Amino acid sequence: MKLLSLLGLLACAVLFQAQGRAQAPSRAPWPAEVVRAIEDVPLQDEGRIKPFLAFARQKLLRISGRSSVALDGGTSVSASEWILDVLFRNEVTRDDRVFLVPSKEVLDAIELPHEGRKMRDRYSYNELAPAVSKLYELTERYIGMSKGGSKNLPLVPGQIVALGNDVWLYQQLGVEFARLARTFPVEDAGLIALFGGKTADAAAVCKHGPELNRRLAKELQTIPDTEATPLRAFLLDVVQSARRGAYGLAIFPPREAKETAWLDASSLLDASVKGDEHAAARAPLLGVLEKFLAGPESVTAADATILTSAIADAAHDRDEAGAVATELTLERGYFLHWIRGLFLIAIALVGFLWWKPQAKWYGRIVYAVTLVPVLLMAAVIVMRCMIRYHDPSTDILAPVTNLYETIPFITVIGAAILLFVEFFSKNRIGLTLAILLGFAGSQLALSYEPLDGGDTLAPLQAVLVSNFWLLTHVQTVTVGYAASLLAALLAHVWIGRRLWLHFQGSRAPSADRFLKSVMRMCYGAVAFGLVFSTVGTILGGIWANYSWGRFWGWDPKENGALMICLWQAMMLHSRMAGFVRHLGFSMLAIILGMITAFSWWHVNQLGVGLHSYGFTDGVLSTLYWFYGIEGGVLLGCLVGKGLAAHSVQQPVHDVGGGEAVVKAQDRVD
Amino acid sequence: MNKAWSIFVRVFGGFELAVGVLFFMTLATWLGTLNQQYEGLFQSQGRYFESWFYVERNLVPYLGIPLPGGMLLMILLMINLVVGGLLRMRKGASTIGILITHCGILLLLLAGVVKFFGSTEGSLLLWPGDQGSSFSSFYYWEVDVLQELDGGKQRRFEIPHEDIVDLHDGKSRRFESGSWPFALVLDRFAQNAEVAMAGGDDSGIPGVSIGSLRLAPGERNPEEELNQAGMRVRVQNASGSTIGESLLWGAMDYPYVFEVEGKKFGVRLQRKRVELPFTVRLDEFHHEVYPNTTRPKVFASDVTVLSRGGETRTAKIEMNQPLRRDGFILFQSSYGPKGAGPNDRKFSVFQVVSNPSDHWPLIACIVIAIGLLLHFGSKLFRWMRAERKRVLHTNAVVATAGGSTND
Repeated sequence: MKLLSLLGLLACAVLFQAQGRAQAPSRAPWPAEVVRAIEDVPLQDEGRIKPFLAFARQKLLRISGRSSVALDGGTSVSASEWILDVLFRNEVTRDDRVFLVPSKEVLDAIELPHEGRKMRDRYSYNELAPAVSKLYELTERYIGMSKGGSKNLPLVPGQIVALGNDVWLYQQLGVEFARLARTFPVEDAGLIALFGGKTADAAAVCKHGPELNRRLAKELQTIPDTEATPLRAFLLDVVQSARRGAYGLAIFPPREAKETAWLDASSLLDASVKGDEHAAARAPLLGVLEKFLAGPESVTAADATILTSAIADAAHDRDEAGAVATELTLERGYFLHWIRGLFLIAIALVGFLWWKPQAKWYGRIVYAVTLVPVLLMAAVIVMRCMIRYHDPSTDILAPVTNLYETIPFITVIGAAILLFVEFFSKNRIGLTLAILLGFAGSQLALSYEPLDGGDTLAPLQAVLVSNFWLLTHVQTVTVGYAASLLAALLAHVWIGRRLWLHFQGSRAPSADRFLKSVMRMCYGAVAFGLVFSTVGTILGGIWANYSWGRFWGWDPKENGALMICLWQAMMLHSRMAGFVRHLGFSMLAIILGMITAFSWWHVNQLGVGLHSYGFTDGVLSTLYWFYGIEGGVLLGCLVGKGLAAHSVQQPVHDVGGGEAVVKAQDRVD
Repeated sequence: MNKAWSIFVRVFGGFELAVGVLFFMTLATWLGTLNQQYEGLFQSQGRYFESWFYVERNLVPYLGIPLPGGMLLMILLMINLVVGGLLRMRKGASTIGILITHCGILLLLLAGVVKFFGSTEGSLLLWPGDQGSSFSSFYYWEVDVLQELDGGKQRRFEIPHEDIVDLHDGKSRRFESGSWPFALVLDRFAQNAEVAMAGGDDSGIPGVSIGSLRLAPGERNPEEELNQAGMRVRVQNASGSTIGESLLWGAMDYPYVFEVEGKKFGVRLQRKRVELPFTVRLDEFHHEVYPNTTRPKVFASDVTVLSRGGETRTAKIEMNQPLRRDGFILFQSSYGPKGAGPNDRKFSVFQVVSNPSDHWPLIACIVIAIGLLLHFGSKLFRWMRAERKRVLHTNAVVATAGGSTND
């Protein structure tokens, strides 16, 4: 079986190479109206209906980690234009440096020289071509070796498999419509009369498919099926050509409502010659696709609109187009970029507020400006919910269903809590932190998209399809994460302020109102987090109990959530008992932040358990940096505490009073 | 007595113990999670979460650090909760939320204890049209001795898991019954074993050969349900002479058959079987994937439940919708065979669980949520009131002084 699939890959590669030997045409741009119209085409990919624009961006993001392609000469093409190029004139894209190779170990493994290249660099297909067979061989081997799927592979094998899959995707897309470019020779007089010539293109075959099927049925009544006839030879040629493996870009909605799988061009042709009148009626669309194959000069906006309207209308008739318009708005809106920009503006504005804290009206303006990106991010979450809810294959309403979606959700919840606090305390701390958190969250969401490299709205696995549990457990525990991270953030602010006061030579830092406010907020965040983490974690256990019959399975993700609850409970008990004061509580909150990062991201990278998402490039190294920096902060606190205690205790010995020692320690905390 | 009680309350009901236990529980959870990368879930669970103590060797190379295990910590937490969090704690309006929360946590821990000691779980595999009235344990093995009776009937003797699982490292055990004209000697038990053809020089290689077959102990799979146990059985007569021997292996469908004094017996090693008080028949298995993908969308089983009294009832078991009946819960667990296409005939695998504390966690969750919301909700309202007052006061002071403030 493996051998067969390997042979299939190699056959595709050979076909692809043969196609590439044709003279590379000039790279005239696709007309803007054509691109715009094609971006609206609904298609079925990864199990759901999405617009071509989303498809193009996701595929390019997966291959390249970017949403556009830089060309020689300083120009660039959008994801839609590049995918159009790949689909309809693949030859012009073969020197585009799009394939992101994350490490040199990958190149060493596939035996591709890389002198003079960066550690992490992008390569063109033509640059990778000499190593493609080795790449496929290793991809097959690693997939075969990995138990439980490629997600459990170590880093470099996982990167090789990802690159192998990307090259495979590129090749498959490259031959997707190429077969439509060919003509089928016609020898039989009856067929020549039918097609009006000695050749027939794919659109003509599709149009006359049912008639060909009727003629075949009639022929079978008189001529045994063991005998070859011109009609049979012709149909065999068509069917074999149609069935040759390709990506299977499913752009044609099926006729029957109960059929859920959309058809690609090959399946449409196949269905037509099997007598499907509905498929035959789509033949003009194949004609439009043939025009695309002839290049940008041959296509008009009207052609693209015909294609888009026909498919959109059919999707609408099947009640499957509900989410497409929303997704187009989401894709075209570049909301996350706007949100990040607005938070940047808010950072500048809030800086001025710290300089002029008396300006009450100005504070209100900054507050209002900050609300805009927070509400926009909430709108993004709502739009994503709408897309998922209107997708007939899922109808899930929950705002958090995967790791990516936790980022905007945590950002919005964290910022909302801080703005709530600011509303009451009006001391600029909550506002400033909300802005910083919002900026960091929007940046993280933008950075994670290429790392994830897939459809962040992909349908859920069977076990997760439950609105009730997604809305209760996942949301609750994610709010718990948000509160825990907030507590860690506040702890940093407290330590920073305390350090600043120290260098200012403040004699009574514990009386500082800012420090007191921050510490109250930090305590509040931990308490708030404990409520949601605990309830969320137990709800997760109850979901597992009602789904699999076990409340607790010691899965890494469960353990991560449990660690957050335990640590928060320990922090509150330590504070209540007086074991720690402000500095100690801040240090524990920083550890809480590390535990939350472990639970949120690290456990998914362990390669074990139900929530293992594989080794995402860059995530582990970022986490180790984070742990290192936080460890440094903790160490710094301990050293600082030790030094301060030592320097203040010296005169105490001179005085000889035990009470004075206690006071000195008070100062440190 | 009073003094002893007072010391007991101070030690076991103190914040010191609470904080210590919570700290070490976090540590054990973290270490046990990381260890799953190396030893898998089952081993890590046993070592970190179900032990009294464990020696941590991953933290510092070449240095084993003894630490308290999950079992000890859970017990200490329960004692601390009862003594410190319920008995010793001041009772009043300000602590009512905490008291309720502690009651909820206690209920949750009790649910865990009841499940640990009182639950049974395993799996039941059915092809469409087949029915079953028992399921196989995930973790436990048993040796079945079958005696052929007249009329094609069988009499069954069972040697339980506890009596065979320690029979390794040269240890053997002899089993007798008044109904048997022989004794069985079992040894060489391996939790995971392979059976292969014997041959060449096997000396020095772990395992045991009998005839042309060799039983070789293999590395224990972290996913316990994938292990196939193996052991050796010897049949001895009254004088202690061995009259027959064989290898027993969990993956073998057929028993080792022997005859003594004209009576026919069979011995087999199998996963422990648990009888259900009803029979389940799989009528149809549904497997749907998302269109044009291999991603599972739905897998569900239409079943008929036949009770001992002859009553029948149909039900659909799917993800998130188990069947609860007579103290047992049947969950849709998986399906197979591996690699089967959408239109191939498939079997359905149910996870079967009997858990007396099935709904306790839900009750505990509600209790904890109420307690925490009461406690921290009241604190939040107090804080909001205080902040409002403070801001108004500050504004008033500034207004009196003739300025404006944002603070």
